[in-house]
This record gives sequence, C-alpha cells and structure tokens, in this order.
Amino acid sequence: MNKRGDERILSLYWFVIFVIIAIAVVSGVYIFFSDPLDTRQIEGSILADKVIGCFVEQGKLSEVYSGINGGNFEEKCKLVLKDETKEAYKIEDQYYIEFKAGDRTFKYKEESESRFEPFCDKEESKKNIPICIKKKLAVLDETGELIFVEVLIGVRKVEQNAI
Amino acid sequence: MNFQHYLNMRNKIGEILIEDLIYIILVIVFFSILFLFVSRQGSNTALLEERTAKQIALTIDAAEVGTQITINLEKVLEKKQEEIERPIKIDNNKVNVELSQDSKGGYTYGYFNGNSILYKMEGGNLILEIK
Repeated sequence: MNKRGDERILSLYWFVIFVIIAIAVVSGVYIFFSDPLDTRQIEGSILADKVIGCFVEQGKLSEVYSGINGGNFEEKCKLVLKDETKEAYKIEDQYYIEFKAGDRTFKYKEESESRFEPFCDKEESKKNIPICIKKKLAVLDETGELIFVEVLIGVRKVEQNAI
Repeated sequence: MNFQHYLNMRNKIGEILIEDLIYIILVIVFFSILFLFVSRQGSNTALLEERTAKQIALTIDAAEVGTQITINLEKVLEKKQEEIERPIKIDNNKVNVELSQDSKGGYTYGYFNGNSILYKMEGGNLILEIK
C-alpha cells in the first residue's frame, strides 16, 4: 500500500475543499455587502407620519387639509419631495402620496399613480420596484363626524436602495 | 549499510516534515486571506459612507422643528482619510458623507424634511438643529 501517495491525494482533497469553502464565503460576503441598505420602508413610514401630522391636528382634520392641492402641498407640509442627489433621479418622481379621508382623496403626483399603485398590494416581489406603505386611522372631520383615513405612500428610490 | 539506512530515513523524515510544514503554512495563509477579506468587506468605507448618509438623512426626516440632535460619529470618522476636510455635508436636501478619496465624492442621499437644517461638527459628534 502506498501510504505517501494516499496522504498526498488526501491533502489535495483537503485543498479542494478549502477552495470550495473560500469561494462560498467570498461570494456570500460579496453578495451581502454589495446589496445596498434598503431604507425605503422606514422612509415611507416617516413620510406617512409627516403627512398625517400635517393633515390631522389633535385627532381632527386640520385646516391645512381643506386648502391643500398638488401645488401647495410641499410648501404647506414643509416637505421637499424632489430627489436631486443625481441627475438621473430628477427625471422620475420618487414619492407618491395618497390621503383618503372619508369621500375626499388627495393625491400628490397623481400622474405617477399608475407607476406606484399596482405595487401597493403585491407582496411577492419587493426588488427593483417601488415599495408601498399604508397607514389607517380614525379622525374627526370638519363637522365633528368620525371618519376613517387611509394614507398610502409609495417610495421609488430603487437605484439607491435595491439595485 | 546501517549508516546508509539511517541517512535515507533521516532524509525521508525531513521531507515529510517540510511538506507538512508547507501545507500548514498554506492553510494558515489561506484562512488569513479569507479572514482579512471578510473583515475588510464588513468595514469598507463605501459601505460606511452609505450607512452613515442614510442614517443622517432618516434622522433629519423624522425630526420635528425646534429639536437638536447629536449623533456620535467617532467610530465612523476613525476611517476618514486625513485629506478629507469636511466628511459630512448637509445642504439642499442632500446628505453627503465622504471618508475616502477613493469613493469619488462619497455617498449622497436625499431627505424630504423641508425645514432648515443647521449642523456642526464638535469632536466626533454631529449636531443637527431643525429650525
């Protein structure tokens, strides 16, 4: 029996196993760290709270809400919803906001609805598509009647968070 | 005859030892490189820039008017190259974090809080004031 030969073959096998382990570890680490941190869920949730804070005051629909429109929304709620971090991001709207209070619905960037809304009830894929946040609450309207409010926030920012 | 046998045995033992030693050294080198790669990936500046920029942007987003927030960035700034004079820039609804010249301008992330943001660095702390 050639014991030395056996040992050499065994060493070679060990080395092959090490290389396989190394490739697995390196690719795992590389995939994990090359993925951007997806903060859109938190961002969308904060934005929803800001919108609620702007439209609802002490459990009642605020005066701001009655006079709101697509043109003055950012100014009234002290929000800047244009992402100017890169030229490419200016082209598309990065946020979509829908605020349903009773029969009235306010939509910010209504023209973007078709691009955000379809993803809002789909759980199967969150990659490379906008994410969607929904919050519900009950408030009193201008007449003191209890109404249900639904806030829907769409956050795109796909390039910074998902690719 | 006996002396020749002794010499042969000695050579064989030496050969075995050297081969084993080389093998052990190779294994150590191999795992050291692997460990270095993993630890470097986990603390690379590009990742740190992205994480810090997003953390600051989200903090600003969530902040209310009239608040002052202090963020401890000592550990982040330890990674900063000496040539970088202003590692944190907050301007025009953008947060920029630059720790290394290799990252070509650092990482920039936008925030939507429309209030004016004043900031200053004090030691390793970033102090934000929402006005």
